[in-house]
Amino acid sequence: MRRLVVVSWVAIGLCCAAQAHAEAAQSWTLAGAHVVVAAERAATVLLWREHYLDIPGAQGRNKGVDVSMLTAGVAESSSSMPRLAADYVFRFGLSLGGNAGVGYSKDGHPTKPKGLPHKSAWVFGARAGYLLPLSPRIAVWPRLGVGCASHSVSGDEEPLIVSTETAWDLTIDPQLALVIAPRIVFTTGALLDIGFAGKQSLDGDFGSFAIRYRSSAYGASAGLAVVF
Amino acid sequence: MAQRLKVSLLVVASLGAALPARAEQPRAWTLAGRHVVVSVERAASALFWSRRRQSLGSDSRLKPKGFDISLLSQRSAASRSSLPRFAADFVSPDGVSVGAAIGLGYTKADASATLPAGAKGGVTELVLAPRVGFVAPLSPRLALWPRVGVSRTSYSISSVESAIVNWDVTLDPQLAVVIVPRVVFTTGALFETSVSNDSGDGSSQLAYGVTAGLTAMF
Repeated sequence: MRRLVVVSWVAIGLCCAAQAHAEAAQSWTLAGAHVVVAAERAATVLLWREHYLDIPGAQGRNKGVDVSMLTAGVAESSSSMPRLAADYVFRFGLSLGGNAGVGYSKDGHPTKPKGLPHKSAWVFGARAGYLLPLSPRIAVWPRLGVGCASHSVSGDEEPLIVSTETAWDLTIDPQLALVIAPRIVFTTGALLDIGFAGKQSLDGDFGSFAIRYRSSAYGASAGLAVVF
Repeated sequence: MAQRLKVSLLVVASLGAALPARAEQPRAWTLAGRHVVVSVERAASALFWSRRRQSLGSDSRLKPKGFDISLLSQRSAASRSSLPRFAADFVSPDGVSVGAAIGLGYTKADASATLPAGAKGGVTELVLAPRVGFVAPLSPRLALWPRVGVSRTSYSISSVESAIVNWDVTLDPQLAVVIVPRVVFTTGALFETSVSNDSGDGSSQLAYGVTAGLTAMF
């Protein structure tokens, strides 16, 4: 009997909630022209692989896995970095947009009064896609774009060396968009970053040199979008 | 039992009647009232930070300090206070908010730039930050939201048994601006200081600056 009461509670509650959401969503749907602003790759599970093309043998490769929920401070791959995105969706579904993220840190290290160690990282990307509504509250949003990521770290000991990795990739990220409340959309889907260009450079008193570098990643990501 | 069933059905029926009524009034939506708030916090931040090691005395040259600026890309951040995080809060009808923020990062690599030299295995970083606050609407689209809480940040390497755990006290009074119904831009000051850590060297951190985030209200 107790189980029946609990089941009734849950079932009726779900029905009411679904009815309320359906009524609320009637006045607002994913179809039509929109501007979409999103926190992307807010949560990710990615397998990644790096290639240093001018270093022969196994040492020229590195691979690993990153899991993050916004806190990607420990992430090894630039593909794991969250980013802010903006897209314009035309009435007929075509979307054009881009994404960006930037970080800079300056550190007055006590053992090195002259040089100021710093770290910086940035990403940007441009993309096109097609938003295909399956229902007023669900859409498929395949996207294709190009991205660039850079990560630079300078040492905190003499001689001062600055290491910079810059990677270009082709990004394919088909997303499923779910309206969780009017104008608020949860997005999730696959992610594939295919590295096609890049370099790792070392700069210091000795001069500078660079090697070719490629970074690729694949996995799943999720984000939160606001539709205007 | 039958009486309990009746009461249950009555409660659910009234909820069912109330929800559509609320849903039919999007124009009447304001910051006041009861909400569940889900946020991407510290999405953008500009923070000054300093660390002090008690074991090294009061020599100011031994106090590392710096600043972090980030727009989600906290990969370069030197301070744990710069880490973005997800947050969820329940706001009661009288404005009291109770909630918590969480952030999680894990990485494992063949050759890692994150791991200390000689260490092997994955690295896990976890932020948990419960807090309380008060939403004071200044107008239907503007509110002050002062908050106070504690933040636990842990950093652990799987091949090493112990983890570094830091406890901070956080004050972050926020200004909440409704940009469209249910979507709120938040920005404000942040002040975070260590109260405890187990790194063994008695170090403490102070961070202060400004942050901004995006909030969805349900």
